[in-house]
Amino acid sequence: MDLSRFTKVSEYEWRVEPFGKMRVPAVIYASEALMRAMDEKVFEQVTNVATLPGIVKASYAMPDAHWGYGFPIGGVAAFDADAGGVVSAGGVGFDISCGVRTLTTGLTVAEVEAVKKRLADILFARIPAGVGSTGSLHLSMAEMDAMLRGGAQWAVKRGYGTEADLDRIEERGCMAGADPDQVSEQAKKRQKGNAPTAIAMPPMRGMAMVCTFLVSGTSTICSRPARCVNGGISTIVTKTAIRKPK
Amino acid sequence: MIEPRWEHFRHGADIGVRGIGPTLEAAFEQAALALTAGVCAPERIVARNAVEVACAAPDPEFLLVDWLNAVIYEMAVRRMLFSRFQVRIQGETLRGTLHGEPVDVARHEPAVEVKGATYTELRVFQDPSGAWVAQCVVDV
Repeated sequence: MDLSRFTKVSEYEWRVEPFGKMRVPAVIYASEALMRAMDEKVFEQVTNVATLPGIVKASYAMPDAHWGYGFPIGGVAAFDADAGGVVSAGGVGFDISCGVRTLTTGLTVAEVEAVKKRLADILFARIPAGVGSTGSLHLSMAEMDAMLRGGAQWAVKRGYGTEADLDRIEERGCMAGADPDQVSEQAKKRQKGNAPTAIAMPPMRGMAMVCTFLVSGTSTICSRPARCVNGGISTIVTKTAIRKPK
Repeated sequence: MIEPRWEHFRHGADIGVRGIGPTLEAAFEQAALALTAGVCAPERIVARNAVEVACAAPDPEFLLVDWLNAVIYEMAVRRMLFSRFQVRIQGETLRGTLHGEPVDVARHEPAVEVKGATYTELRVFQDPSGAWVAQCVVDV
């Protein structure tokens, strides 16, 4: 990315003052090397987000920023509803709001390094991803509605997390008033074989994974762990409950 | 004489699909083939079962997105891959026939799952040579 349009605020902060229809500045947090490696679309998208109605303070992007739909992946913004702010189900990623969560496992890097390859293989085997794959959890339509209504609280009730996990999640993992009837039958059918991927899964105890990527999104569904440029493994982990390999 | 053909174009993390043909319908068929080619080599897919789809949209660009999404939906729900497409467009309505077979992971070796067609780089137009071009980026 051409850095001549940015003001370097500090070693890891780069700023674009508002121009054109931008309502606020754009700010990217990254080293110079990462900035140079970013594609030009990040500039276009991070400054585009700054034009949205009601945006507060600035349009931000994280060090992993790359070309997304609408927002750059790794984009962050807040909107003030009282100032005509926009509402988006997922500014990052047009469909599924790709995101990355950091999970703490109590394991050291050295412990994980030793089993990294085997671990990755197990994750790929356990998590439904890609054409022709199926998950181990198959939900009836009624149960899928319960999942959509209950969110992470539904998941905890079924043993995929703990009460303490919910304390770390916005709205304790369940937005009041969720109405599964607003989700089309088509969408539910498509999700049926991949149920575990539809759960916004909280960080889990006993998960053998150390993730070092910054939180760059708000939700946790992703079906392309193998290709995710954020670093596949961390994205996989956000998807489902994975037991510690024996 | 414009030969129907498809190609991919570059996108940072996803795949651009482009169909080219002598008619709008042919360009849509080729765009669907480009979509399949993002998953696996189309020649590996035996066109033994047919699936009918229909969609409607107020202009050809939205219709392309709806068409590709209809194909993606059938791929996901039926767990099938398709290698031959027939498209009929009348006004705002498209009727399509998809020919393919159930996914066989060992034989097809699917590389990625296409999640949806997007409005990114979405264009449907007739180029100066008279060829119809239908393209967009698909999310994988």
